[in-house]
Amino acid sequence: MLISSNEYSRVLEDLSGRMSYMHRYEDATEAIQDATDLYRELTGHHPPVFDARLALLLKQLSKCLADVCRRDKALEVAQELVDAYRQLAADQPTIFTADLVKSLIDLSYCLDELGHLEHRLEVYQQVVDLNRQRAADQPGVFMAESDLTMSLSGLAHCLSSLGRTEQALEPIREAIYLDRRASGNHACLALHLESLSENLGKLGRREESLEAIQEAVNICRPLATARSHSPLRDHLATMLLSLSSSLINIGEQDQALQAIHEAVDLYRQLAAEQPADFRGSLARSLKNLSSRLSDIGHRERALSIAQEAVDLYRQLAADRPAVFNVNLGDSLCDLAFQLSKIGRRAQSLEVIREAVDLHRQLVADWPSAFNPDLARSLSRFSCCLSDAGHREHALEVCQEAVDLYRKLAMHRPALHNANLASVLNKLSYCLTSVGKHRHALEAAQEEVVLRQQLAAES
Amino acid sequence: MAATATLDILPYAEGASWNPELVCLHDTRKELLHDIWEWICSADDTTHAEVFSLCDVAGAGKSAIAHTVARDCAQKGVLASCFFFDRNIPDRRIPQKLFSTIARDLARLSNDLTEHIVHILENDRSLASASQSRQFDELIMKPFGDRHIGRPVVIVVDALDEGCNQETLSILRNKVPNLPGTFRILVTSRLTDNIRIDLLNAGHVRHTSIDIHGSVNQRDIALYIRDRLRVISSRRQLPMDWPGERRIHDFIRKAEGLFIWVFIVSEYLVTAAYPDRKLFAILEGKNILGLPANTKMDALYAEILGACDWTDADFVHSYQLVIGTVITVKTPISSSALQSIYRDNPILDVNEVLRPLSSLLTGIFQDNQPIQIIHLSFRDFLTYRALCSPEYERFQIREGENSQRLSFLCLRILNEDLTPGIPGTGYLSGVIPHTAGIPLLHESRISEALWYACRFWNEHIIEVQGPVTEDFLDALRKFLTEKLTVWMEVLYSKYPFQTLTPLREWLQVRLHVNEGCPRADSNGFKEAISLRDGTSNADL
Repeated sequence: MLISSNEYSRVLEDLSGRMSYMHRYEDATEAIQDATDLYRELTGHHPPVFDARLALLLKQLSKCLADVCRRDKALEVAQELVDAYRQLAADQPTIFTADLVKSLIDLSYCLDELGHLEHRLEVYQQVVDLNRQRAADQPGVFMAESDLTMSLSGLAHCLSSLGRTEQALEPIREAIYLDRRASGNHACLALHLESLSENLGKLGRREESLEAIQEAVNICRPLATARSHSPLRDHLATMLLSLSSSLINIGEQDQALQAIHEAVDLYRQLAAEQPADFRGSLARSLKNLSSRLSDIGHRERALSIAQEAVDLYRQLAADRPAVFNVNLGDSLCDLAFQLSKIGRRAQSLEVIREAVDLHRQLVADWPSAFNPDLARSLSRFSCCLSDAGHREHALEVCQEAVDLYRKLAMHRPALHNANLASVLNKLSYCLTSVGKHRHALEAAQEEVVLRQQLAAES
Repeated sequence: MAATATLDILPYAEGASWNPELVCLHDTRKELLHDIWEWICSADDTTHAEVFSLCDVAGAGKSAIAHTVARDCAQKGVLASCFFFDRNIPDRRIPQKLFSTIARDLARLSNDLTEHIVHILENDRSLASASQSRQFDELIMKPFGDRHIGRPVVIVVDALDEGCNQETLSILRNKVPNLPGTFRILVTSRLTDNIRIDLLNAGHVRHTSIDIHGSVNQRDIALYIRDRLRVISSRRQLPMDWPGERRIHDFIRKAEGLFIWVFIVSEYLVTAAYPDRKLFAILEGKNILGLPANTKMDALYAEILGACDWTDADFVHSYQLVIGTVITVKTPISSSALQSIYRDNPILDVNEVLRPLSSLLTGIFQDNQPIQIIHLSFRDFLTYRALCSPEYERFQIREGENSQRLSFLCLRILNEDLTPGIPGTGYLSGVIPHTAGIPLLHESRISEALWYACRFWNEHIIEVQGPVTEDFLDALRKFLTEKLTVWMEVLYSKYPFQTLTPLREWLQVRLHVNEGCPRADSNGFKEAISLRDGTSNADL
């Protein structure tokens, strides 16, 4: 007996899974493509039938195509899969509705990757509708209900990424309402409250945003400490950082500082347990803490924390320069700032020089991505040089920063016009200090025009 | 580590690099090498990239120059990448791996570049199998477009005509000028029409030829001939001044500047019986002056082949089998693998056929070295020009017939050697349950001949045209019935996926052609592969 096509298709499917496992994604894609084509050919003569096996093949195919970044094709297959499960679910809803929902969520990922946000929103709306139906059909079934709240939160995310923040509040509030009613999944409730807070923050509703994140922290804290479960502790630390931002927004500096301290402590524990996963987060939280301390005048403490952040980023950048060099540069900028605040000018100059060198290197490698970072460090470098009395050099560097911001502002005025105005101000100062008063006036005039524009726009 | 793993998804043509044994003889090509070096040193960030194209007839010595430039640049630290096309090697007779190989080499220039290219690849893994243009744009143009390198970035591409297509030429013509001026690309090629039209008249392409009849080339070839003759006289224990000043001059005159001609003549004299008489025959036998390069080479090939015993029917038969296989294989194989492929023919002694032709082939004296033809012009002679000339008819190799024979031999090897229980197999047939991934298979467990059969049976079969024998169908049926899964297990432990779709189409056409063959139908073979019937037990 010859090996049948059906059998061969099954072997190919097995092979494709194994190839994926070995990270041989191109091979895996070709194998599953062949398996799918063969199976289609086998069943193709019958009136449009669709069976669970073809669905599995298509699911694997779409995943493989996404693995090799053939996103358009992955979308096409994901769409076909949705159509197929829709048909199957129409006949046997109890068996196939859950698969249909999963296939719609996969489709939404494909749409997200391709930037089709409107379409993705439509798809997510269907997910919510289906889950609503499932939850109604199976009252009290935990999975059905938690699927519904998760999909409501997903829907809110779709709306939010389209800039429809106001509308995003509605599904997220419904999710929170359901979470509270079910009283089973507190971690979900906390996550949904965090998302609510974020959206409220975007809308400028500071008190409500604070209230939501405060509640999220209160729910998450006992869960995280009781179970010492690292993803939960990570969530809690992130929530604490959001909480601190919210507190600053309403002027509660002390409480904000307390929240950041708690987050930093959590990240210290996590980084000690799982350095590979959490040292980056720890460094970020330290950077945050340092600027907070500086804002309220604790300069020595701010300096020592900034130094700790630099040391940590230096270690991280040594292992993964591509990921962390930019953070190292930023943290060096912060350190230079803290040093100059307490009058350690020579040291500040040395540190900012390193930051500028790093940013120059990054710009040489990725010109488009890191110009704003370089502009920022140049501007700080110029200040440090002025402070140390190197007027000519300060002018030179400041001129470079102005040129860079001018270029950046040309492409993205909304983002960089304010920065350009600030460095023009500094340029005017530098020019004055070397006696070029006419040029100083020109720079100042340009700054005024910009500031007028900015005032008119706001 | 992760960065290297990501770069590894870019296809890399192995063995496409330069070889120190293939460089020019010392003190030859001085002027040309000097010009090329000056051109490399003139690289300048403020202008655009340039191409130096060295085009000339086959056998003028272009590849030796390419190897020399690559060596010199490597020694001076400015060689970024090189790619030697070769029609004998699968990866190197097509352009699909050209830019991915170059990109991988370029990524090694600095850590930042590695990271940048890895970053690009991680965002779009499909680049690994993308078209040449996309690979060039994303993996070369993007990271280098506005990067300051500060030293020349030399890329050597040899024998462009043996592997390029229109897309390659269009990249060299239209895209390369957008690279920074530090890029210097040396290209050697025979002068084909599309290279003439698409490359040579572009502003950034500097074109030169060797001028094989020019006095500089005459001087170089004289140096080369004297060097080769010294090697021959010492190896064959001939007098130091062999073959005498007059004959040396004659040799130089008759070489007419064609280096490959001199090379093959001297290889022949190193091994042939009675070298003195052989040299005399070549120089005096037939008027070889003033002929086109191809014709001159053909005459030499015929001279060397003609020295074999063509009255011996066994030799004539063995020649077709052995040389036919050497010419037709999809990737070069060793003489022991060749012998193994012909295991059912006990009388055939592969080395007996190869030995007298040692000047036309490389690798025949080492058991595990792949045998390759010495120069592209020899392949063209055997497969094309010999077919058109009654004088050379007996030398001709028909590739179609050979491919058909090879496909049958591959099936027989697969059927005999793919035995159950090869360690590392069984993962697809359920013999080893509960495993993920693909186990490592010890390469040494699989013979070279079996690897060859595994990799290329499919490619050989779909080239077969016309009716096939019943034996052939039986072997194919046996393979598909009993060996398909273990074949997959062995092949995919190491090699990329192969689709069988063209084979299935081939089978349907072939069985139609074989209509007159009764057993094809009676055995159910036809129904078995005919998926169009749509029955649930349709077979491959």
